[in-house]
Amino acid sequence: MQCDYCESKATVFFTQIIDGQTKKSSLCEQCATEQGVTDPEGFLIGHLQPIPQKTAEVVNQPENPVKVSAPPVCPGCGFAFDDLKKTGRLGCSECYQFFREDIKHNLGGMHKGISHKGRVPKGMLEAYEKQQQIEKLHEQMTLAIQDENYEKAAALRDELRQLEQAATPDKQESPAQEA
Amino acid sequence: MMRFSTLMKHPAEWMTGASDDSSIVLTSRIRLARNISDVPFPGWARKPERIEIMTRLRPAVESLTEMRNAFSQQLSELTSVQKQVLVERHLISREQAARNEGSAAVVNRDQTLSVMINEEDHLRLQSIRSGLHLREAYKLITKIDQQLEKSLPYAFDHELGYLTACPTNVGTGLRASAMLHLPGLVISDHIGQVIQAVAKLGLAVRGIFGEGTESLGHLFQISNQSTLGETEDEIINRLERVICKVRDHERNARIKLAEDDPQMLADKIGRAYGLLRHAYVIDSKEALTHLSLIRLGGDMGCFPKEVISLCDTLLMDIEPAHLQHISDKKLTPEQRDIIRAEIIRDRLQNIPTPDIGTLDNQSKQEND
Repeated sequence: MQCDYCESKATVFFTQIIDGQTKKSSLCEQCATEQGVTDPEGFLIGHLQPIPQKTAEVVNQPENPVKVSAPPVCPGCGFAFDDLKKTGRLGCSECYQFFREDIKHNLGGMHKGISHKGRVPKGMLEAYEKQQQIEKLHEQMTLAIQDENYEKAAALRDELRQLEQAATPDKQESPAQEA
Repeated sequence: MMRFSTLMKHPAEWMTGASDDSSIVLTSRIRLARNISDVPFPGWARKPERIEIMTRLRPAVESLTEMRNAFSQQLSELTSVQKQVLVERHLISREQAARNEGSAAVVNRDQTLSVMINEEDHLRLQSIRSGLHLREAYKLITKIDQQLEKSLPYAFDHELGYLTACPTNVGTGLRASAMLHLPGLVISDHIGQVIQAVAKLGLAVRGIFGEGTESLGHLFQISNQSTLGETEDEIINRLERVICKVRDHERNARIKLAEDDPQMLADKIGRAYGLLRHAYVIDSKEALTHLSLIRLGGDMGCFPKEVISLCDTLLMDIEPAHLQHISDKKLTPEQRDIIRAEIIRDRLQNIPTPDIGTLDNQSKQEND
């Protein structure tokens, strides 16, 4: 893959999540350094832009709900993917979200498959099923609105509300195994 | 809570509970790796974070019904010999023994269950049974896992399963393993083929004692490598099938040795017996090698059956930290060799000289 900034081969892959928007970049080592991607000092906040912006000041707001992350470090724990090569271990469970593709890329060689088929913790299964159901209803509602079938949409909306409020969701047919 | 000395007084269930089938497969072990979401893994967490996580996890583990009157200690509260003793008993890992503050071990009375807190993962749940009983061990550990998942927010992903510090454990987080005694295959020089065949199936084989591929005491561990893409049952069934095959090969190798060359086998067992009964200085390598042959002799009828569990207990008791724990002081390697010899002589005192005639009979009987 080519570097986004020059002709060289990209060796640094970088994913930013800003306000829920995922932005992926590929850089060569030199551009990565110039952009501050690999700069350990500038990793907390910093937007990868054509004009490099090395904001070093850390805003002292730990409860800031906006996910701002810079260079290739996990927003949960500050772990850089390169550290995996050094330690063989990840920083926290969020790293799996953040470096998902990189991790998955490496999993095939060590395991029989690349998706989980084993046990699911009880609460998680319910939560997952509920989430799936909510998503399904949302989809149906959107379709109903597109079709101008407002009666159906309203019914679906009510169902959604109920589901979102219910402490324990009704278990309907479980969604397909593979996520 | 149980004290360390009390824990030591009771030998582990799987050391003495020598079930009939434990002459080749000594123990079965299941380990589950679990983590809490939204906090760094132990290796990445800072010390205060680690302590906080441990403080949160420890009461949850201690309050399990299976852990009533359990032994529960922070690693920093244990001496290095005590830690090493726990390692030798397979209750904690080497990795955990190297840790101090913010890491704890909880072990039940029978020593069939142990929970490591803040080892490589936040939680490592382990159960050990004697003989080939992987499923039983899995059932036991799952009971605990299911209780813990009610109160702890496990790090879990619907695509990748249980999230672990090391991607090699992700998915089920399950490592199943068995310890096998394979003198027949080693003596008949077939062990290399067996190891290769097992490795081809994606399972790992390693010597229990000794470095690298070398195995002392003819003891080997077979375990699964892959944790993702298969269910727990599939992993365990696959492993169990392979272990049964290896066990059959070992059984056949023993019969064949007795058939083809009973004198050679008798000589090995007889010499091992003579040496252990009369040695005054013995290092652990030599002791393990000869104890292995006594154990083999026990299985082939040269000694009373109890000899097998006697050997299993000795295997552990003659390890460096156990020796130091028994004599209650730090020992130089030379001193250890003397005490080791003394303990072995003492334990073998009432074992009669090997009845070598049974080797011949054994091969005939087994062929019937």
